[in-house]
Parts: sequence; structure tokens; C-alpha cells
Amino acid sequence: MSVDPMSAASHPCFLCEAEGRKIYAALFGGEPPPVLLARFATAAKILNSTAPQAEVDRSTRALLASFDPEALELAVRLTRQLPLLTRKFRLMVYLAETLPENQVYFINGRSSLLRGLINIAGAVLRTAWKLPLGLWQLRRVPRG
Amino acid sequence: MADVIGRDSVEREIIIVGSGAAGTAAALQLARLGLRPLMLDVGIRPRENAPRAEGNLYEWHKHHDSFELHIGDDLHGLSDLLTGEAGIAKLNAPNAAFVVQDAVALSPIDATDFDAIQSFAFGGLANAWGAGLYRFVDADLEGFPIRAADLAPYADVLTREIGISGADDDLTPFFGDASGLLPPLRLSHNAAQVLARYQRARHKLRERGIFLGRPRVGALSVPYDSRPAVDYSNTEFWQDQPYLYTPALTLKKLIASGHLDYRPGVMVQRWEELPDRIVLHAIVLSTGEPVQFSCGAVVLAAGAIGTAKIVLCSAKDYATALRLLENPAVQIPFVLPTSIGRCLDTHCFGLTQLNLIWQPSTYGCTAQGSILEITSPMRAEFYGRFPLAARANLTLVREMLPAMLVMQLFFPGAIQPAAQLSLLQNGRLSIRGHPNVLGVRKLAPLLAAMRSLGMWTHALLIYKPKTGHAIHYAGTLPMHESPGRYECYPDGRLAGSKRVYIADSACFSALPAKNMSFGMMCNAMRVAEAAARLATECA
Repeated sequence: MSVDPMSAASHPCFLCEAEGRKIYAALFGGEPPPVLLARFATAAKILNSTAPQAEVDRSTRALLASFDPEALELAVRLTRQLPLLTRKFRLMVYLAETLPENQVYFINGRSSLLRGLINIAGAVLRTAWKLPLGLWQLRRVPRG
Repeated sequence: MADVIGRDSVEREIIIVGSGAAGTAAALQLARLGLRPLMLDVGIRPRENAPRAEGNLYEWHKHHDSFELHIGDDLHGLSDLLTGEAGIAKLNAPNAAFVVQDAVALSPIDATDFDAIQSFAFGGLANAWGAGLYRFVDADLEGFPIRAADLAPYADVLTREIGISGADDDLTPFFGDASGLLPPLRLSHNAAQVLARYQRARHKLRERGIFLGRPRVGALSVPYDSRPAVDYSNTEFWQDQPYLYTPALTLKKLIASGHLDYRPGVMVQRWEELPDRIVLHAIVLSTGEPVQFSCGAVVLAAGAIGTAKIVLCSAKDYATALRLLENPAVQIPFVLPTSIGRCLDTHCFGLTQLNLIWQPSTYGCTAQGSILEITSPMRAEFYGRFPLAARANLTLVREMLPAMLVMQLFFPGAIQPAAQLSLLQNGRLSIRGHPNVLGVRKLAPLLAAMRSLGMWTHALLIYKPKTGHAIHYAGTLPMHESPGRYECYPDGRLAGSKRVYIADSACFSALPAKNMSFGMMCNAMRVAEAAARLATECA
């Protein structure tokens, strides 16, 4: 079940690279490598072509206007809104993992039960903080 | 018999249709009998110059962009994400794309509640299998007109041909004779922890109907038959490896040695049985031209679905609905709390580490589980399954995944209402299935037992794959002592036909929970031998 990237080339998406920058910064911080950004834009166009245009527009508008995209993505995921935005975050994770310099974000290089538990506790606290922030941002996103 | 009887008509003693595990096993047995069958196959091959990771996946990835290996220029590795539909993770590997290439176009199916996976590749779906190879014992053959002893001689031959690693342990009563096995593979850290805990608590667990042990897997723990041993490189998801057996290895050997006449690019559609021979009507795919092949006996091994289609096409039967069995399954992720925060085990075998047999009173049957390491798939595969914020999920990927194992638990086909397969007037197949019926609550006794082994999970994390995603299809043309229409005799011959033999899982009378590949291959050899007897008598 492969996807033809060319089939989506006819759907112009001038904002895909801007979205890619925002999502990459939310996930990993900093600027994405150009090769990653180009791959994201290609795949994001296909994702856009599978969603209703209204969702594409709303998702892009919400993401680019958001001051905390990570919080916004959590909110839309938990409230089952804008699934396209969540899929774009997942897309960036897949693509980012292919780069050697990003392995540090995916693979634990040192063993420590204590550090692991502390990090997981921190992740839960981070989520608890991001959720209300995301819900507040989501309320400000115009519908339709 | 004459070899060529016309411009586009070829005559042989025996023709095998399909090159998957069953077709390959049939060809192997015919070669052992001194015959040189013709194999007709679509035969899609892997692409040349496919990307490969050299050595250990993680070591290689430290210095190489893995985009081509993991995702591919056509974004095949993102198929599930881009289409929004859950697929089979291993089939999403770019190097596995050929396994299901063109399948939808070549054999379209109108399906409800059944996601049928078909293959027209050289070597079939087994190119992407987990290589779990288990002998059928008598308990697995309940409802069949044959016994395990009927398959044993072929199992011995196949064990030598394949090179199967395993052990004589608590699972031997379920997996059969352990003689001829290579030593078991090295366990991952987590799997070794679980097995050690099982050894300490095995008496209590056995009383609860739970048995744990080493898998029998077609991966070489030691060099064998000019093939190298497993290198614990975590690459099993992403590329073929000489240490991991697939039927394509045997096929190549048979073709190279002149024991098999392999004809790719041909799709068999139906047969016509004459008094002294059988004529196969096929299409040459490159030109669309019809072609005929004539033989004394035909061994159908196009898969439970593909073989059933050929049978229905031959009968021009658009009314009958055949029963199609499939193993209902669940995937259960487990966390070993003591392994949280561990360094990822980057040097392990990326497929099945342990097997489990569960005899639950709640289901009244035997279920079989495969416990897998998740070091071979992309980490991103799991990111989206965690419920926290994006960066927090990445933290879980780093800290939790090294502490996780996944169990794929299969139940017998009888647990699930059988799907109905029929041929439509337009040539498409119709499959009407049923949603996966397994109830998570009924798994509670198993989950409690696994906690005693240090494996923790939650019911909300248990995933029920769509019906069809176990890719264990069987029973469309079942064997019976006294077969009726669309059933087989115990020797695999289709009732109502003198020259058609069913070698694949279509002829299964029932579908045990056990991974059927090895049992199917043994049976295919037995059926091929019966077909050979008929063909040589006719000759």
C-alpha cells in the first residue's frame, strides 16, 4: 500500500515548510535540517490531500498562530479534534528519526533506573502543564 | 509426456501454482522424488539495489541517513500514517513493498470486516514472515482426517532443509519432537529476565495453564548449510538476511540445480479437466495474452484465498460462499518496571524471543503467544501510541521502550465466526468477515500471571488487530474423510476432480492457534507426494 508523492504535487501547500519548522521546534527545539524540511513538505502535502480542506486550513492556521504547538497538539489529540495536526506531528517524528544526528532523541544511551523514573515523572508533569495551556489555545482557534 | 504441445501450450507431469511456503515445500518434495515440476507464478521480485544497513542497525544508523531504508523515496514506510489505516508494520518496510505489490490490482476483493493480505511475490507472503516454525501435534489436528504422525517424516526433512533454532523445554509437548533443532538463539535482556522468573514459578504457572519457553524459529543460531548465524543486528524488519529462512531460499536452490522449472509472469485463472489430463488457463501478465498448460496433476498452492478463487473460477460458481478461517489475535504491550531507564538493547534478535502457551478456562481452547522484542521497528512507531504531550512521549520512547516487550496472542480460528468467501460475476472476490471477537476482559487471568513474571500492562493498552491481519488464512477447501463439494480428500485431492490437489492452507479442516506455516509446508509435501503418484501412474 504505497503512496505516490506525485499525486499530491498538484495540491500546492506553501505553508508546509512553515508548519514543519514549527513542529520540529516543538518536538526537538531549533531549526530542522533542510533535507528533513523538504521531506516533511512532500509528505505533508499528501497528508493534506487526505483531509477535508476546512480541516487543512484550520489545522494550519491553528498551528502557525500557536505560541505552544506541543500544548495545542496535546489538546486536539485528547479532544479528538484536528486529527491532521496530530498526524503531522507523527510524520515529523518518523522523518526526524531517520537522521543520524537525531538518534539522541530516540535512544537511551545510558542505563539508570532512577534517572528513567525521574524523567518519566517529569514527562507526566509536563503533560499536566501542557494540557490546560493547549485547551486554552484551542478555544482561541476559530472554527470553520 | 511431450514438453511442448503447441505455440502457447506446455505439457508436464505436474504443475505447481504459486511459489509461497506451500508451493515451495511441494516443489521440494517433488524434487526429492526425482520429478521436475513446472511452477507457474506471478513472481514479483524485490527491487535490485535495495538499500541495506551494513552490520548492526543502530551502529550503522549512527553514521547513515536511514530514510531510504526506513521510509523510501515513494514514502512506502509511511503508508499507514498517510492513509490513516492500520496496516502490517513489517509490510511497511520499503524492502518488503514487493511482497504485496500489485496484489490489489491482480486480485481485487470487495471485503467487509476482513482485511485480506495477498502476495504475488516470488516466495509469497513468507518473505515477510516471522519465521516461527512449529510442528503440528495431534491436538492441533483436531478435526483433520490426518494425524501428526502423517506429517512427521516431512517435518524431519524440512527441519534439516530450513535450519530451525529452538530448545527442548516446557513447550515441547505443544511444539512436538525437538530432535534436529539447532541451539536456541540468544535472548534479549528482557526476555532472559522473564524466562528466569518463569523457571522459578513454573509449577504454579503450569497449574494455571501457562507454559513458557523458547520459540522454534527459522533463524540460524550457528552457521548451517553455508549460511551464517544470526548477527543480532536488529535488522530483521528491514531487509532479508541469509540467516533468516524464507521459502525463496529453497526456490532459488531448486531452480539453480535444475530440479524446478520456474515460470514467472503467469497468473493461473482456472482449469479444465479432460479425461487424460488437466489444462490450466492462464494469462501472461506482460502481454495479457492467454496461455495454456497441460499436465497430469496440478498442485494448487496460491494461498487459501487465491486457491479458492481458482477453484470457484473453474466451476464458474458465483453463488457458493466458502468458509474462510483466520486466527483472531490481540497484541499486548508489557512493561518490565525493573528495566525502565535501561540502555536500549541494540544487539538482539528483532523477532520472537519467547513463546507462550495458554490454556484458558475462559475460552476453553489453547492460545499461543509470541513475545517479541521491539528493537527492530522504528521508535517513531511507538511515539504515537503513548498518551502524553509530544516531547513527553519522546521521553517515554527513550525511557520506556527499552523496558517493553510485545506479545502477539493467537487463538484458534474456531473462536471467530468464519468469514464467507465468494466469487462475483465481475471476477472480483467478496469476503464478508466479522470484527475481532476477542474480549479483553477474558484475558485477565493471563495478565495476572504475566504480572508474576514482572510483565505489567493495562487493558486499555491491548490492541485488537483487524480481522485478516494475522495473515493466517485457511479452510476454504477443507479436508474430510468423505468430502463433499469444495472439500478435499485426506490426500489433498479436491472432491469431484481426479487431478487437482490442494497443497496450501485452503485444505485445512480447522485452524489451530499455532502458527500454521510449518504444518502447512509439511502437509504440502505430503499432498505433492500423492499428486506425484497419480501423475507418474498416468505417465
